[in-house]
Amino acid sequence: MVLKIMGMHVKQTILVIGSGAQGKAIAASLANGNYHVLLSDKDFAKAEALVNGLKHDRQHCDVEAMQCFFDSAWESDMILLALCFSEQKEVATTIKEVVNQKILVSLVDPGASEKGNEISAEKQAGLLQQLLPNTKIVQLETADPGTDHTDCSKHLSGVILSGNDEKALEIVSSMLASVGVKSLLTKALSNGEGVVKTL
Amino acid sequence: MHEVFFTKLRESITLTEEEEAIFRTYLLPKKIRKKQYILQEGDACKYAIFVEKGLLRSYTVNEKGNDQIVQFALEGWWITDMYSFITGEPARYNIDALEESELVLISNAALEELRQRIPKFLEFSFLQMRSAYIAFEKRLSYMNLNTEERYKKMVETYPDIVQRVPQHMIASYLGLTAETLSRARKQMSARK
Repeated sequence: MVLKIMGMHVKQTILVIGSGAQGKAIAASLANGNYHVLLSDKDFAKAEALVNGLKHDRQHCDVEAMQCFFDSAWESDMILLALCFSEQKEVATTIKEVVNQKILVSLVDPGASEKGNEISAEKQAGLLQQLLPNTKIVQLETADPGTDHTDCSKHLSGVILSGNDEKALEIVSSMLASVGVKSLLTKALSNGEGVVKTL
Repeated sequence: MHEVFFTKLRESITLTEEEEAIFRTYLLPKKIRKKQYILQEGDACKYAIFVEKGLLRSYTVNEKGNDQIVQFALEGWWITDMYSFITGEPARYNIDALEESELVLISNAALEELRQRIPKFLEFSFLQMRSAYIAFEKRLSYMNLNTEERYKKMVETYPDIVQRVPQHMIASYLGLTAETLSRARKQMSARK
């Protein structure tokens, strides 16, 4: 027998790959919401430690450490890459087959470079899109990059979102809003002039 | 990936390699755990769901709080809340996994685009709709039978489901209580 509970929604599964400062901040924010949060890191012990930290702070949060990027991306409705850009490219290649038509949120790496040349945020998005042509790429930049996110109790206050898929931008923005993170702006990546739209 | 899906597709229509590649770009792969929902009553049903591996069920909950199973979906079957999928209105059914499952999801918009880009896909859609209608009619026809006949028909038509699904769910699908089905099964085996 199943009790009828009106207004229940399917719990979305969100995968955060990377448990550095920004990955921690995002995971801590999402753990406040009604999401099934999966955390993965090439160093599994780091992911486990972060999950334990989050569960210590909020006993009922639905977070889980995962070992395999491919399987956890397959399970997820949305994937967040909180890694440096070179690692994002590596992971994108690994999970390519299972992120078709899904939303992938890429954290802008301000220090990304190739052969000594800096790679702009827009170029990073373009390169990821080339690797994942049928995935909806949304870029996320923390609005307060100077904040120290090293402890699990700290979470994001505001972000800047960019992307070409309006629906995907809306979904990411409302997901973040549901956990108290304000999306300050969105901008179309294809628009080189950088026209911005306030949400 | 999506081997069962393309095997089924090729049984109905012939696709060139290029068409198959186009087709793949629209498919959303999703793995779900046992007891996990893919749709809940009240949400808009955004996807037609193809079962690549595993087993799903759709059900509604009656006023007494009992679940009434409408459909099971095994490997190679489609499942969705058709009304909600077509109209965008809130779903009347819940869909969850009875086993860990690998699914292929297609949105309504993707289906429309596929019909435009690969016109022979229309033929596939028609054949799938026809199968769904036949299965629906078959289930309705069960309701005119007595308890034993309903169960026998179920065993004959869907032996895999009977093997993999608990008896109380079979009872729910057949519109019976678990006790009624259990009694009928005992009587049937006593006569053997």
